[in-house]
Amino acid sequence: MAASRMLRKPISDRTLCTLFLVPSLVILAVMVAYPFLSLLINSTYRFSALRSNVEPVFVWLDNYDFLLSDPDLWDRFTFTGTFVVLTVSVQFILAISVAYYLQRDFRGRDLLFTVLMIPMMLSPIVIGFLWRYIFNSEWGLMNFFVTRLGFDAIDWLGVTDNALIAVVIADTWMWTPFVILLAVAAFRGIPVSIQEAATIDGASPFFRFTRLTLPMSAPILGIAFLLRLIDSFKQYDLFFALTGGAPGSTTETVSFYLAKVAFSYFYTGEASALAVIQLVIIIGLSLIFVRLLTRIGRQRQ
Amino acid sequence: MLELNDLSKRFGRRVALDGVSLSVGEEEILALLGPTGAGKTTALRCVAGVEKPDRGSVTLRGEDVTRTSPMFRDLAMVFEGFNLIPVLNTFDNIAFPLRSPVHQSPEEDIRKMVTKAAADLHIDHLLDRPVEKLSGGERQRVAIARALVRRPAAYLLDEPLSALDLKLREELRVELRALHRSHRSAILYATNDYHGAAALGDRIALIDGGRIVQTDTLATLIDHPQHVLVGKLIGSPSMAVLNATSRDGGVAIDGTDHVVSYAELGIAAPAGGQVKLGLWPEVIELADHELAGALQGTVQASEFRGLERVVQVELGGQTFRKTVATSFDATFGRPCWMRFPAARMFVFDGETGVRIGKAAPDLAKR
Repeated sequence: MAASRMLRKPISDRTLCTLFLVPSLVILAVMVAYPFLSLLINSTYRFSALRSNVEPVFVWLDNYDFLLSDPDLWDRFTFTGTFVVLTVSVQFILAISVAYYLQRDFRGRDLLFTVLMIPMMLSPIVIGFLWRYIFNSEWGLMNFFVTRLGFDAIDWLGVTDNALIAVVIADTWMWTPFVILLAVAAFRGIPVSIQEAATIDGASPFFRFTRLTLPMSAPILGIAFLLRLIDSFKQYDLFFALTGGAPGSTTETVSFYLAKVAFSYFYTGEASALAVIQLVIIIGLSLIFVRLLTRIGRQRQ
Repeated sequence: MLELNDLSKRFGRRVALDGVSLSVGEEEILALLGPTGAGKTTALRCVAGVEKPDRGSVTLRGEDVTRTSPMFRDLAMVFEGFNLIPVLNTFDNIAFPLRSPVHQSPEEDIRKMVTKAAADLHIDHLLDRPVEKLSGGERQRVAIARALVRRPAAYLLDEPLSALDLKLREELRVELRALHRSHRSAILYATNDYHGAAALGDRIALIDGGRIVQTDTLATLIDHPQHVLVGKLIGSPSMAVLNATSRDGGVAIDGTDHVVSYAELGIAAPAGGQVKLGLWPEVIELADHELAGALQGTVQASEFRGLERVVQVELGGQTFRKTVATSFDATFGRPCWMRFPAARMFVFDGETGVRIGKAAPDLAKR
């Protein structure tokens, strides 16, 4: 009796919502909120995870003070910034130009796109080592071509600027296809008839591209841009495998430095503080960007 | 001015255009009237150059433009789907053709022309509104303004008034007429709306199944229809078309014993046995009481239109529609009586639908 009455009683929408939400909220709390809180707390203590017998000392914001007055860190920020600007702009210019020609239907399209997916499927470490061989100044493939073309061999990984270019090339190789795919999707989302109408009105292909195609794909390209921005800002593994931070420590990104502080020096407190700083920057960038995107979206409605 | 010569186009197996030839005069509005899927849009797209015809050519100002890029054809087109640019506001949408590389004009001229075009279509209050925020009717007017802002060789209008409500549509027809008087340019106006074609077209080209049925002024189409399809496309209600069989020295309406003699119809005995008799509903005498020597039919349906009534009449298993006075007793299933004036009857071939007999001599030359 009791069981049948329970079965008959309908579950309200609210209860149902809660039931569906609880598991993901629990997972979020465990996976995101807890580590974040512990990170925040750790960043206010002086302690090392290596020496668990030494009692952590609460130091307020000393870790932040130490980091922000460290000129080495500012060098790393500058280097990371240069890398982000270079790699993202090269990838977008390249991807948009290629996507422009890939937007119409042609034979072997599906195959080409499958092949294009491969670089981002590979592990960055694998790619890093792969390119390390290619950029080897003695017997690398790159210098083989460079010398064939009649130039002097380039010390790719021994000079900071060259190493930066090398990583940008590798990162571009890895991520341009992703931007191409998104750009093609965005371009193909624009009704052909709008382009036709513009053509009848006397618009050249270039005019249509700049006045129609680009503005109309702005939301998707914007999201791709945001993803690439954040991702390249966090870039660690490619540098780890390709340059190892060398020459000296001049090709260390903020993430690379963070890993070093955390797991080579085991300054856990300082590393936590740096992680918080990095997080704040990324959240800040995202916020600016999401604002921009919603503004574009709102204009459209 | 604008000529379509023997245009043919197929999409896979479907024939969209089958030898379409049309000619739009210097200052003429040619209405291209036909049902949905008749090939109107394809014809306009071929003229604009965004569709390549399989065969035939397009001539503009005496010049063959069949292979000219749509960019350089100097045409303006209003699409049925508007095709406005969602990232631009109303002003920039209308100004788009004037800013394009081919028709680039100085900004101050653009401002004047856009304001003028917007005022003509009563959308000047919407100029700084994003087009995505406009209603369907407003968007349609923006699309028309975007075409009218220029003075091209010819305008191509594809169902340009379909998204408007009846009142606005009638108003805009008048406006378009007035604008045409000042613009004085060739217009090819595709529509499936008989009223629109009648109100705007100097001449009407009837199209069905990718073929031109007949191109003439409305008066000529009514007096001398060359094909039974003319009757289907013209008039509201359209022509009463009754299947008939030729026998006993005349034509007998199927399902009745009413025979109209060849002499009365003014034709010789047709070769095939089956014919179609066409009559404009306006010449049919229809009454809700018995008439001497009239055929008896049944009221099958009736549509009250306030000042008049449209009844659907059944006669020997065939139906036609006619406008009558509201006083007409149109109770469902009631008998009614009708008389067909034989002199006003058109006889069409039962198979091909082509008019039989006295073709107007001036039409044969066209």
